[in-house]
Amino acid sequence: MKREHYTYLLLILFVFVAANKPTNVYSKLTDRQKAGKKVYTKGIGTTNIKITANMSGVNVPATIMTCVNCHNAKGTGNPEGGITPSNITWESLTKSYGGKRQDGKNRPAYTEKTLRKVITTGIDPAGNQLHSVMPKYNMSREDIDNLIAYLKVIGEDNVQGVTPIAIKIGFALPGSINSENARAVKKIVNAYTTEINNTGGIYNRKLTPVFYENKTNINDDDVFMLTGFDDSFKVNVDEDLLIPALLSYSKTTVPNGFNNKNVFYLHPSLVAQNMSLVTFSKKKKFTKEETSPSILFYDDETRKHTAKKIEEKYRKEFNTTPFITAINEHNINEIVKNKTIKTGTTLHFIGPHYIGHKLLIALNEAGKFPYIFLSGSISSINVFNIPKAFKNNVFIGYPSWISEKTVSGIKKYDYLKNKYSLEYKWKGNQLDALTMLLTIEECLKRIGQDLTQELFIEELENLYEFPTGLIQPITYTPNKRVGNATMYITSYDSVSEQMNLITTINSRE
Amino acid sequence: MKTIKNIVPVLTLLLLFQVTFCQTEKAACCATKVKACESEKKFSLGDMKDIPNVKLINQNGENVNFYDLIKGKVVALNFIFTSCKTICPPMGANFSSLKKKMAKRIDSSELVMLTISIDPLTDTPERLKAWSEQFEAGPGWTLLTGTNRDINSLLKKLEVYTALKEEHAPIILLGKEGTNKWIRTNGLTNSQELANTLENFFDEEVTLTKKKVIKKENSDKKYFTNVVLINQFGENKRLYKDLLKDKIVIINPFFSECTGVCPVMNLNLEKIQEHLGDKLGNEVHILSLTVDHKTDTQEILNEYAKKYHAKKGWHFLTGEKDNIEFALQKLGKSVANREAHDAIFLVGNLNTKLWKKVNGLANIDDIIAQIDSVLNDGAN
Repeated sequence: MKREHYTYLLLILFVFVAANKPTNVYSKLTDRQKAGKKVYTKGIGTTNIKITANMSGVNVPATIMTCVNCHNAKGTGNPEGGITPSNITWESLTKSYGGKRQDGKNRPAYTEKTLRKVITTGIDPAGNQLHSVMPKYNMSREDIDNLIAYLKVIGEDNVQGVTPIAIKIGFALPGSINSENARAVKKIVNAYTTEINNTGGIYNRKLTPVFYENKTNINDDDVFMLTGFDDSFKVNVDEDLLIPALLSYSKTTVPNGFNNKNVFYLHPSLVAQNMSLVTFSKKKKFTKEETSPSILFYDDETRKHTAKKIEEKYRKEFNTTPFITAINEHNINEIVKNKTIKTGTTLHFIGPHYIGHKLLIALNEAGKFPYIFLSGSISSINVFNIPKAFKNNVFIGYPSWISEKTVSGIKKYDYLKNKYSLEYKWKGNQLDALTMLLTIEECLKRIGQDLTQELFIEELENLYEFPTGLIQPITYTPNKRVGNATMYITSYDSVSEQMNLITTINSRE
Repeated sequence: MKTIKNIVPVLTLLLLFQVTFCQTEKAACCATKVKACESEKKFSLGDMKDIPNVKLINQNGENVNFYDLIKGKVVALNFIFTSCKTICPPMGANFSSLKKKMAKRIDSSELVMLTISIDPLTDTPERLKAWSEQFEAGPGWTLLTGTNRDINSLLKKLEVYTALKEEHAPIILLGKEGTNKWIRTNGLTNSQELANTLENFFDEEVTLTKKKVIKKENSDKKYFTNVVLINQFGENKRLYKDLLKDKIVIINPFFSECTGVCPVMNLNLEKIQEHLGDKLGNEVHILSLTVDHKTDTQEILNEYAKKYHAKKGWHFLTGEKDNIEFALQKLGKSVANREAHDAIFLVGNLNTKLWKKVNGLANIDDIIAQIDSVLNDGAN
């Protein structure tokens, strides 16, 4: 009887102990702690009082001297250049017997009140001034309270999207979620992750993709990182999520790493891709001073932006005024009549293939055969329907080319394609998806078990000529956010019905 | 060709100067100065002939020649890399603060402020520009990058090269090109102190040709400055003019709550006071500087002075935090915490520039013998 009681008691105790232990499975931060984390890692608060850091009398935005820079993500401190930042985990700050400063002075345990004081004035609870390298921060009461709320759990809080058994990866699909394209890509992502997970995952963590459609609000999900096609949510990535993203390509010019910490791309941006065509045209002397180039764009936000950038480049570098206009199914014939468009000039087409096709036919009928330029990522044309009279005057720029695919790269794709019966039609996007996943896998493996977003970014920045076998080897540096800058300029010879690689252009992005 | 021609006479002059400079300085003052002289001997930018042609690129993408930038100028030079998170942003902020304090000297082109990237592979001109703009420093600050080879050869010449960029130290170099007076110090030092140090480099060359004595006096005045301290009677005392000029001084650090060495030293001073008699307050002065200005207010010092029967000419000194700390630092008595102060009397003859360090806890007869030797220096 008695013995049974004890077992029962022990059992209860055990349950209590287990319940008290912080669970490793997604202990989510409260909103307050989340806001505090943003102060800690980004120097950005929630009120309209900008947080500033004061160092030897100079006020700078706290975004330059964030807490995490010196005290690191776990709060334990990164020694550098002879400076050892204090351990600011809650446990260490509030030890009942206080702490010893590096200069040997003692200080009592911190309380919320004295912490507020030391952060804003640099004076510790013993009345001593902290080392001058620790800035004094000016922030609203709300922000400092949030920060302290976060300090209470720093080091204990889990890396977002990572548990001992899973890594959640957000995947942005091309097009809407039910489109053929999106479904084809989703299938290869699932196929790839299934393969990885069936062989034990990465350090026993299973890759768990979460799929997004364009512009989905992703703030509610705890993903470790983002990958995929559309960069329309990249603002969210930058401002709020503080998580890395590896995406196919950007719609707008990619800033270098100093201004763009988190987002990496496989290919040059749409703007840079089209700029490469202009560079090519300059090299080949297709653009002459006495003739004006034409830019025809399908009127949507992205294509218009790209068209404007091309116009700008022509104005700046060639001192010419291009003929620029929006094109749709109904005004093609009207546009073709324009005098600027003629044989021997250059014409940039930025639009979908059905318009491109009609444009070429209209030009053919009008007897005008300008040099046509289009970039494969944003424009398309059915090459096999190009009227013969164009000969080899149609140039298409691609961010990757068949010559970069290796036997082992193709094998990887074919294996998935056969085993999971993938649709061949959307191979281009599938290959990009696979490239991104292989790159992510490589980085995760290189980092090891102890995984954080910061380490992931660092590892990407260390990637040098990483061969996926599907596109040219990928290199990132602290400056470079585009994995490979090369554009392949091809032409379609309508007489021999062949695609020819003419040259490669460094898009310099 | 022209530069080489110019360098040869400068070099010969320097060789001569280096020897005399160090001797006079050794006589001129205390520990820190002598140390500075030694490190200067090791490190000299005066001799730039090995690397006059290092071509670098500034933050605007323009090609510049390092030597052209610093030629004949007073220079503040620090080293960063833009992906450094920990100490470089504070160094940048401090440099920007220093720049604001030295604005006039920069406007008159007497001073150039340079930052050299120690990671030229990553730090493109655009990146350096973006980095410096964070500190809202405005024009007058040149940031430099270049080829790995050029940068590394320059860093090695300046003795700041580290194989791993992460191992760099927060070093700032202050000095004047064409002289061998260069100071290597911590780039995170309070920018006001850096500014004070920089001020010492201006117009130094002119005094070279003037009478030696005048130069010495000026250098003492420049070194110690007339920073204001407060004595036990609440009177303002200027460090150089009121407390040091033309005097023989016995200087010791202390604090009133010190129960260890201070009482022993003070009893010794009391005996020295007796020995000196009428000389105290006339040619000889005792300066006791507190290392705990917070506790040691004028009232407390007054009480303390009475306890040791201090007569006229024995000054117990405190002051504004920055002032007293500055004075202590100039006398080589600066300490991080008050218990760390030493038990050494610094005995100096401002006229003959003879300085001696005397153990404050030694036998009183030995101490007095040493003091007398300084006192009588130059008498013959």
